[in-house]
Amino acid sequence: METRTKATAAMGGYSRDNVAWHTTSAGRTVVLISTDLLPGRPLRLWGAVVEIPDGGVFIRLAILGPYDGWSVSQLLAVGLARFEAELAHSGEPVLAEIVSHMERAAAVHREPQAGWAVPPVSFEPAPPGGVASPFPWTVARTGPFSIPLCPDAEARQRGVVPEQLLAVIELALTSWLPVTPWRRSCWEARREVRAALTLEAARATARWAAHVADCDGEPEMG
Amino acid sequence: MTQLPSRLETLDELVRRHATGNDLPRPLPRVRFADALARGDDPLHLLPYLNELGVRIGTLEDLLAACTDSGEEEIEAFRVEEGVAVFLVTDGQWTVFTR
Repeated sequence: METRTKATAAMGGYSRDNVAWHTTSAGRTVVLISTDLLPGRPLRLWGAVVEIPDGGVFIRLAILGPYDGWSVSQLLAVGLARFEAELAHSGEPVLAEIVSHMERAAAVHREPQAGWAVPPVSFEPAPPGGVASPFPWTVARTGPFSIPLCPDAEARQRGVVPEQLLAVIELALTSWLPVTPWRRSCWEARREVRAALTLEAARATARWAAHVADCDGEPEMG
Repeated sequence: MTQLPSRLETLDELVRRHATGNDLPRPLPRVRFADALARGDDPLHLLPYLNELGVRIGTLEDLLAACTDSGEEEIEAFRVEEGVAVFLVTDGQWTVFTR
């Protein structure tokens, strides 16, 4: 996989924004934003902006406590649940491999703050009237935060696609790596997530190529 | 912390001393340090781990120093007659880097 993750740090004045981004195989971008200090605001903002058709989704990441955003444990749970649903739907062998990478990542990951509880994540089915989904759920929710996932298996509709979710987890783990007390565990979790991301990117690329070939194969409209 | 006794322990002695209760010595993968360095990987993936953290490893002494760093809470390393034995606290895996 061609890794398109970049990072830059714009420093100046009393605010410092660190940005890292990753572009998926289908060209949808994920940008990690960390704002050390917002003038006039008490809370530090940390999260990922995920590009979807016609807009974006902000996934706020937990930084001061388990209830102010998504923790990596929760995101791993969401990713695992999505890939399990994809595996149940299509049965592609590569999905079983991705699921096992996600399971290993979840097994080795340790939340940096030992005292943090991990609030439960709930999964909700696609709202009626929207795009029909083959998956039992399309929205993941914890407390006031939710992540709408792409309802279709082809990942062409609105919502966060699985590859983007893996990219967010990868970026979050990379941010934790220099500061977590569990550096080795964090690295191992990231290693598994990167392996899953590589497999998922290859799957998405192949799916897109098949889609383009399908369109090319259709008779020209006269 | 790495202890430096007057006489270096053998690997066998180290593992017996390190074992607690019924946790008896188990197979210990051995890898020649030079081979691991040439391949850039080892059974514990320590070399790629340290490489990604930006820690330069050129000798066994570098490896010992990196693994006994106070920031490495999940890795223990010991000097033994055979070379350097590394223990991963997280999953109880050993690897011995021999000279």
